[in-house]
Amino acid sequence: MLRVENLEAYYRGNRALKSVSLEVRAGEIVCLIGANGAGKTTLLNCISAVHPDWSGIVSFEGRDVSRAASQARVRLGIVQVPENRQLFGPMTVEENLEMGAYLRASRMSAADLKREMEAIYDRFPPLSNRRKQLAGTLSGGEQQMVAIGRGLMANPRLLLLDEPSLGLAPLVVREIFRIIKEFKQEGRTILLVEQNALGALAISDRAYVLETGRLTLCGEASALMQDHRVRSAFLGQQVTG
Amino acid sequence: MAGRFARSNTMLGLAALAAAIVLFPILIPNPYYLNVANIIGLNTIIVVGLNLLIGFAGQISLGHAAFYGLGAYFSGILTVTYQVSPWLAMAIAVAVTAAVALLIGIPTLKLHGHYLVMATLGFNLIVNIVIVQWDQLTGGPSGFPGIPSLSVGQWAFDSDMKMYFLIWSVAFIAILVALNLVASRAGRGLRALHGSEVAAACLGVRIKSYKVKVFILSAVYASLAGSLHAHYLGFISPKTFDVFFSIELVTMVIVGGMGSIWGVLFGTSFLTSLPNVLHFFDEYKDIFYGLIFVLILIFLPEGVVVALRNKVLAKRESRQRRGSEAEAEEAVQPAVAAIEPSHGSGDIGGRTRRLAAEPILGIRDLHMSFGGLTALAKVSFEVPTGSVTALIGPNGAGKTTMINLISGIYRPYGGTIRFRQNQITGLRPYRLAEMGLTRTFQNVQIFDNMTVLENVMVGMHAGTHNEFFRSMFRLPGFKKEEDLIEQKAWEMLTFFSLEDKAHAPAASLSFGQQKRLEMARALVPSPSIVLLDEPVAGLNMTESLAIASLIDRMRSQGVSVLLVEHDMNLVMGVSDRVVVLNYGRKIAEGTPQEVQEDKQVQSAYLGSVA
Amino acid sequence: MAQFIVSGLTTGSIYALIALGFCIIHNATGIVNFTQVDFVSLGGLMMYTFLLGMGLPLVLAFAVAVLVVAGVGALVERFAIRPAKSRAVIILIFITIGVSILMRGTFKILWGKNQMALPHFSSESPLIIFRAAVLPQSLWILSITLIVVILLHLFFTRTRVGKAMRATSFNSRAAALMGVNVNRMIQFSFALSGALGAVAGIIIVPITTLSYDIGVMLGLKGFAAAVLGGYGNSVGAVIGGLTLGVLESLGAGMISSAYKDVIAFTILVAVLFVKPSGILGYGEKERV
Repeated sequence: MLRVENLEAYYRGNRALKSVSLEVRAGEIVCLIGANGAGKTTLLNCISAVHPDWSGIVSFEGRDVSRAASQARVRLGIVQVPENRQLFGPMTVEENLEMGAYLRASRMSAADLKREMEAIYDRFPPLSNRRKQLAGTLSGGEQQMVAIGRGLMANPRLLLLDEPSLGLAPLVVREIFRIIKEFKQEGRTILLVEQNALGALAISDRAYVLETGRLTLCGEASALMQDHRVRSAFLGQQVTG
Repeated sequence: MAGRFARSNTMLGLAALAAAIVLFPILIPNPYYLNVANIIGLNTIIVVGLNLLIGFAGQISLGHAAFYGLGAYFSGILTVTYQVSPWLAMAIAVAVTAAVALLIGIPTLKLHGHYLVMATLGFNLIVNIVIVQWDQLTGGPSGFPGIPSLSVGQWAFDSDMKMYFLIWSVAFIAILVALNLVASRAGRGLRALHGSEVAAACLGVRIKSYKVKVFILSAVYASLAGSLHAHYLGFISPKTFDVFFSIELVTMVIVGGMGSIWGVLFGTSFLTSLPNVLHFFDEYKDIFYGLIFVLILIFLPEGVVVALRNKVLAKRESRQRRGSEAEAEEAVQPAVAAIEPSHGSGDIGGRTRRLAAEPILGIRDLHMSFGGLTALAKVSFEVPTGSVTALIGPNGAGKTTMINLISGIYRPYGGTIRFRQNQITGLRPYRLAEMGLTRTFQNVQIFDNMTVLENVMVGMHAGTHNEFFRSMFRLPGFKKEEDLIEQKAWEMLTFFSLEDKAHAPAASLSFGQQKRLEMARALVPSPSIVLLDEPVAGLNMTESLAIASLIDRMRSQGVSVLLVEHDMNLVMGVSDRVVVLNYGRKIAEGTPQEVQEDKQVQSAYLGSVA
Repeated sequence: MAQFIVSGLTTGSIYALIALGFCIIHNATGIVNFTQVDFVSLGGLMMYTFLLGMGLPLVLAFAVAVLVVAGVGALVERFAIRPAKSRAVIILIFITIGVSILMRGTFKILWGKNQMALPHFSSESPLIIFRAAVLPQSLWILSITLIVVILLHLFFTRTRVGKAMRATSFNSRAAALMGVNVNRMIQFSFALSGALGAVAGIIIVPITTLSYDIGVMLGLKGFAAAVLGGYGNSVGAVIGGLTLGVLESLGAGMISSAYKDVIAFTILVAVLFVKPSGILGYGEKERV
């Protein structure tokens, strides 16, 4: 569904991604793990065309979209839920969700919009009685729900999730992972970026490991989970067991 | 040393300027041009001062025409109405303007961005209206006539030619003094605070006091020009000193190039003579003026002179570029050089020494929250003297908050921080730098607007003493300290293998080099402890290894290190002790081995299978 | 007293409209757009041309003048801001100052340097309300300002584009990820500010006079009002505008009308010294 070939990206004049190639097939959850500063977010931003300085080929459902602007990619269904939620803090939950459907709103009836929004509230019950609350005043977990909900409102064909568990308490993290597993059962296609390597691997089909701008490992998630190199990348080399 | 090369370039520039000043009236004796040249000279004096403020300290003022006006009106009124000698009047004008600038500067320079612009603009409007309205004193809108010429004994500066030499002598001295300031400890402090206020403060620059000082200096320049203006033309009117002239002055700074003293000559000459040239276009001249102005800003935003210089430099550099990419990825072997352990006792060193009893840093019950969210909850730990202590934890655990608290950027809501024998809770960063505590930053905060060598020289700010006055006039003692600063900086560059990049702009370094530069800058003042915030994030394996060996060497030189890092290979390889934070709480502490085996730490890092 | 308050509210409304224009562009781009002052002048000048020069009916002339100035605003963004090589705020601000000089030079040629006058929208004989003589034009100004503020509020809270503009100002990266064309939003904001400036110019000119640079002093006061209210805050802009207008009018009446502008700016500078982020500004946490 998504194919990235020889992607190179520059950040403040330095090469942040070095000939990265990966692919995501329809219906798969693929996770991208790696330490801070490895270039995971930059990679997602290149796929969403909001990173200014990159080269390479990005194709989506067989079409080369390398030249397409960010709006066009959203319209095709490549939707990113960014790191740190990035909500519109001073706007209400409802307005945030509406913004998710920005490109579709003009071609949709108000009733359809309303129905889709209700579906989001059904999926995330804690949000349903916070519709008029400002998004910036919600707890971290609720904000992440709004961010994911906002992404869903764009009717994604491929959902890019950037660190959905970042900064959340363990219980909430479990809830977020449960939701991602739900997505998988619904047949959605997801590219997931995570620091929480074991949690992410447990719900993914395949995974890539990114280290300082290069892909160093890839394979079945279950296999990578056993790989000592993954553990050492996160805990240091002397880890035993 | 290549610093001398830059100095000889400056001397050459000054000599050329002096020659141009002398030759101009001989070659072009036309009184009309002489008059334009005089106005350019007056503007040059103001704009040199204003460029120190805008280009070096990064503070924008739309009120400098008011200081110009204060100088002119004080000179005019004192000499005509009160019969004060012109030279004395000039001195009084300067003193009063400086006092006004101090009063305005202290509250105003606390403001940021648009508020600062508005406050200075408001000040200018107020001064202007007062001049217009207070007509018994100022002559009101129709102006103030009859101001005498300046004179020395019987000899009066009563012609365009004589005033030309006076004005341009003052302008020459103004430029010389400004160049002196820029190439000094104080000047580097100013440029550093423009580059990054936080980083400058953490190296010992007294941000607020520096801003106020340079504001006063620029006001004094404007006041002097104002007095000369009054005595030159003999007549002053409020229109000369309105907000639009303030705007024009800032434009001259921008067109010449912010931060370029030589650019000032171009900016003032170009914009002062432009209306005269455009006179030809008659009523269309405003349009052309606006158009030229806009085009320069759109296409040459760094200023004409700086843009030209950069073009030349870029050509030179593109020749050297080839291969530098590969070089950036090469392993970095730290050269052998000595970091002097100034504060720490010399006998601590080596991997197997015993740690001194007294911890260098003691954190007790430190508490901090942002907008109701707790970032740190009563965290306590110690950094043993001479140790490398690592602070680790997943993203959002509160590590950077901790570093910001220790280095004085934030003030804790509760708890204490002890540095050797002293309570340092809530002290300002510059005080901590003076006491021997420095740091690096997670997102490198090098001063983009300075060279590599200058960046490291800013590191010497704490503990050295050349201030504005001594720097501007090169008073005794200046050179000795300046040489010491430069020598120490070179030693540190060598230690970090950056000596061949010394004169390159810091922004041109690779990411790994920038990280090393930041460490060099933090180490050059011989601190007793350095806080390193993620020194290897974003670096490749070889670069990381180089940093690890540098940290090892710092310790062997007696410098204590508090290290925040995600890279566990580095942390486990180099640390004596490890403290683990998670959700703002300390969850483990001990030797690397102990921490790695801790179950809580494993689940915090690797996550858990849900 | 009532007299001063009414006249203060009248000019205060104008400041508020101009301040809103400053805020909208600030929120979209982070800059101060000094061409705002010329949008005010151009509004009055266009009204003069359409109403007196071409003889259009009042309402039509009003509408066309506003649209033209909005178009000019969009052009300023397209040809001066977007192509700029530097994104530094100070450079962009000075570009707007340069464009402002350019625009004033053009106005001077097209409309001349002379003073012009526009007729009041309705009768010129004052009404007596609460023992104050009130010009009908003042009532026009107050009610049009009120309508504009309400429409603006509805635009930003009820319409898709309005919400997208707000979203862009809060987080342009996230807005781009939702498919919002950020450049277009910035252009819209210039057009909208142009329209606001034009309305301010059109409604105030009948009770002042009209000249090619009428907007300069009004515009600077509008800027002051925006700063006073807390730069970028729309509610603050309105409050700042009305406060500045009333205080200035009271000061002029009680102290001296010659020092009217001194009073306005002294208040402003004093407020900034006490509360550096304006009346409703979010205090930027001082860190160093």
